[in-house]
Amino acid sequence: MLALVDLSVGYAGARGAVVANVALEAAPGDFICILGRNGAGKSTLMRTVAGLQPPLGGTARLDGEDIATMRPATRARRIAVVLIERQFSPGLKVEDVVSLGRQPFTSWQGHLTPEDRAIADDALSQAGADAFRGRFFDDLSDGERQRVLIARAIAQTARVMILDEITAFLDLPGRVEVMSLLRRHARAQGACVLLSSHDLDLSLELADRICLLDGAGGLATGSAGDLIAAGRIGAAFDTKEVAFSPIRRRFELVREEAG
Amino acid sequence: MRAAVLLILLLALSACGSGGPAPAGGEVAAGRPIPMAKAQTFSVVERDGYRIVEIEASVVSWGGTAGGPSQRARLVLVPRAATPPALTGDLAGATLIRTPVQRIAVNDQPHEAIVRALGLTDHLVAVGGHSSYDDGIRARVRAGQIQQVGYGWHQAPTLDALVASRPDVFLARMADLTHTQHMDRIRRLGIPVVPTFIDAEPHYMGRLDWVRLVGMLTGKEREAEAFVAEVTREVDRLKRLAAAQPRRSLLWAWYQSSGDRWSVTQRNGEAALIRDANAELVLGQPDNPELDVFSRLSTEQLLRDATNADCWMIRDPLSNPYTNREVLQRFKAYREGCVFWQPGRRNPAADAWELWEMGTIRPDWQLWDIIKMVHPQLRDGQWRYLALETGEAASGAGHN
Amino acid sequence: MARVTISSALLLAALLALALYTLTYGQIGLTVSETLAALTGSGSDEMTSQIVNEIRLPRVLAAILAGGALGIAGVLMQALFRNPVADAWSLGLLAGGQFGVALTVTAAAFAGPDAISFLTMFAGPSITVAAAAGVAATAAVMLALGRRVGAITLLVVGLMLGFTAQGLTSVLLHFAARAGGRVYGGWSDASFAGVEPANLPWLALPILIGLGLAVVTAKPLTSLLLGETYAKSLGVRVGVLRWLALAATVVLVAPVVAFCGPVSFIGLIAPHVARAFTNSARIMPLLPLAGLGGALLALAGDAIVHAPWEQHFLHLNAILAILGAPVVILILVFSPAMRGWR
Repeated sequence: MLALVDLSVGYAGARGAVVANVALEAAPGDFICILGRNGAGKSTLMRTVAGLQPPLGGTARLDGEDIATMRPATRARRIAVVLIERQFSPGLKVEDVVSLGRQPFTSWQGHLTPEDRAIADDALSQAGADAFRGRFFDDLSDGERQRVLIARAIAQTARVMILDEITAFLDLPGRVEVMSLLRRHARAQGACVLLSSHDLDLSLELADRICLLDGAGGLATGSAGDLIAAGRIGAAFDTKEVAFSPIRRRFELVREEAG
Repeated sequence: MRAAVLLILLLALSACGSGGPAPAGGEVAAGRPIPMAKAQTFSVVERDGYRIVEIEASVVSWGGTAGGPSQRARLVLVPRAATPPALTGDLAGATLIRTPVQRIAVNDQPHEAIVRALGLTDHLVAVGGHSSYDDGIRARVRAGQIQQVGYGWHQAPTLDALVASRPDVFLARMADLTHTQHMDRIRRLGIPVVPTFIDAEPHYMGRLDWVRLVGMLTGKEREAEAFVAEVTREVDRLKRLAAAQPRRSLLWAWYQSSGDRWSVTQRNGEAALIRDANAELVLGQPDNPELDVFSRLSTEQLLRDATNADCWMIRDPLSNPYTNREVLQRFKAYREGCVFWQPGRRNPAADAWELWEMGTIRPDWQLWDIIKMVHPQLRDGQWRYLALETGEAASGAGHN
Repeated sequence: MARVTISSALLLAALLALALYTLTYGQIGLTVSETLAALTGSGSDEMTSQIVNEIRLPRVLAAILAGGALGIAGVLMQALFRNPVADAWSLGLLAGGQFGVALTVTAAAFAGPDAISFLTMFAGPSITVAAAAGVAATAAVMLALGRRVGAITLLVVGLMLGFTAQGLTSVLLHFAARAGGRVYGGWSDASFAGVEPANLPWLALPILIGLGLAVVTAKPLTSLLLGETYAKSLGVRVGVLRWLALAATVVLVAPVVAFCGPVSFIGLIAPHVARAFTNSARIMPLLPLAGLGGALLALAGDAIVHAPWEQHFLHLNAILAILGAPVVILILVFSPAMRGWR
């Protein structure tokens, strides 16, 4: 369904390609986690796949169509994003945010049909944000806001969901809940979910596929097991102080030898 | 470059604006001129039983310069009994006024004085507000018998009050260029407007000709002529009296409370009055209709050029006393005790001074005070508008 | 939806009642039946008819049109800049419009007395165009700045720009006077009383166009409330939207500046009133409510100015400031919607 063909992403000019010549195939129902250190290019890659910035080379295709040349209205019905950007908007209510997810499907006046409302309500429940109804979006804590934005993305009933660092403000049970929810959503709706996270353990547990950015412009894809066995995780993340243990499938502090 | 193009485009578009004041139908074709002794802002021509009044003057901002094109108005005064001429040819765009007018609206104190002088206070249907000097007029305003339309100095007239007073004519002071478009609107509401430029008359006797004009409007020409003759007689008598005295010098400069600025009378009507009192006007300038009677000068200029004046008129009814003794000591007028101020004959019940009401059309009263000020030998202990400066604070609101 | 309809109906009823009041009471007190008779043209005397139809009615219609336009423009600007105190006045657009007119007048002054006599009327399509140029230039500057600086900074810059424009206007008019071209007064005050019946179509036409543009941009502007990136992801062409919303603002605000002067506060307050009614930030339902609310505010200010005071020197902007500034303070300090800003 989603295919990245020889995709290079980055910014024109001195910085050049952040990630180059990426290939990836994703089927409906796939839950893909994108991992990498800060600055490796996760956000750039996700923004390009979402059609928010043009690729430097190659194409990203959705059902055979080039995402970069899609009409914005069409793209909006097929791809939903959740980002880490923070905007202030006075008077913006939680319901307003979630109903924005239905915008690509409403008339030019933006009128919401009862069906739209039902979808929005359902999305709120799925994201566990029911308790926030009637509150101002700016009033919520960071974690609560994340849930509402996820609800918005779910309400957009898109084929592809792209989520950037959304677990940053959630506690562990929250992170588990959200990532499980997204995985279930992907399976149930036949959607493709791309998610970047710094929670490596959870990602390795839950993802169908991992995309690992090595920070040098390369991307390795495969199941968690494959990448661990190939030593890729360690190669991407090990430092003097922390190292990935393939056996225990987790990161451990490097102990100094006594004496 | 693009800005210049834009500007030119805007200028071109500016030509598309709705038209300006109605163009005058050229020069007045024919008629017997009715001479006005000294007025320069209007002229009158008579033919076929009606009169054509041509008014033209520049609106001079207070203490400043004339702004904008000169304002023109053409009036056709037709007796009620007669049939009015067609408003074509040289009468195109003129304002038709049926004389004599019975209901008069005014927006300035000198207009009230003229109406009073002609004995026509019962003709008044609208005045500026309730600051009339005359107690009778003010009482009728407060009782609601006379409408209030706002004084011309401050603001455009209140239109619904003006319309409700159903005037036959509106004597309107033109104090500000913004008021020109208000005049056009009032004309369109069916009220004939006579823009007045009494203060713009270069000579003080020119103001009296406006009394004659109102006399023509109201059918009181005899009374107007009598009034003007009396004032003229008095003025001539006082001028002869003053000419017989030794020449003195006078500085007419009052202090504005804010900033180091003195309002110095230098030219036009007020200057003529002082010169006719047989006094040299210190800091005087040649007459110029494009400029106001006074200019703003600094204390330094006074110290440089005006310290030798024999007498000094230092304060008008609204300004605060100047108290800097050191500066004052340098002036001969101060040392010799010839410093005066202008209380202006205030009516305490109203916020009004006779100086700015009837005093406008009685230059003989002002002249007599000035003569007595500069020629002490003629003083008789009576003063109408002037008083020796003692430093007491003025009553009433100050100038801004 | 029902909320919006009921609130709109309430505001409309209040507006009509206030309009009837303003048409009836003033320096000359009429009776309601006289006023209605004059409006419908059925047998009232000529003086009453003249007062109601030629003097008061244009003023009331001007207040309603101007207040409505400013209210709607305020909604657009608060969404476009994501700033709760943005509006055409606070961001200096009105002052910019004044400056545009002053520039035209001065240019005409130097061009000669014929150009001046064409411009002698205060109103007219030429003045509107000049005002629109000034508003558009200022709006473009603020839009460019808005992407670089925070909301409060932008507000301060807008106020400073407004002061600058007013200072420049004052200097410009001084030179225009020298050249003999001064055709309008200080212009620090706003007024609806200067609008004549002939001006009303020139006031209404751009405002209606602006209203149409505002309706078209309402839905995409709502998504802009979450930020440019989300808006893009929802299929909005953000660049086009910006220019459309800007054009709507210019076309709504320029005729108000040209015919009524710099009317303050209304565009700032009306959107907040509207949001309080709808309990939502979606733009489309805000438009009618802010329009009606702005019209009501403007008419209220005008009614106070023209009430039969003893000394009638009240200035419209002074009244609007007395009414409006405390409201703005209350909004900033106490409104729950503003919590994220405190």
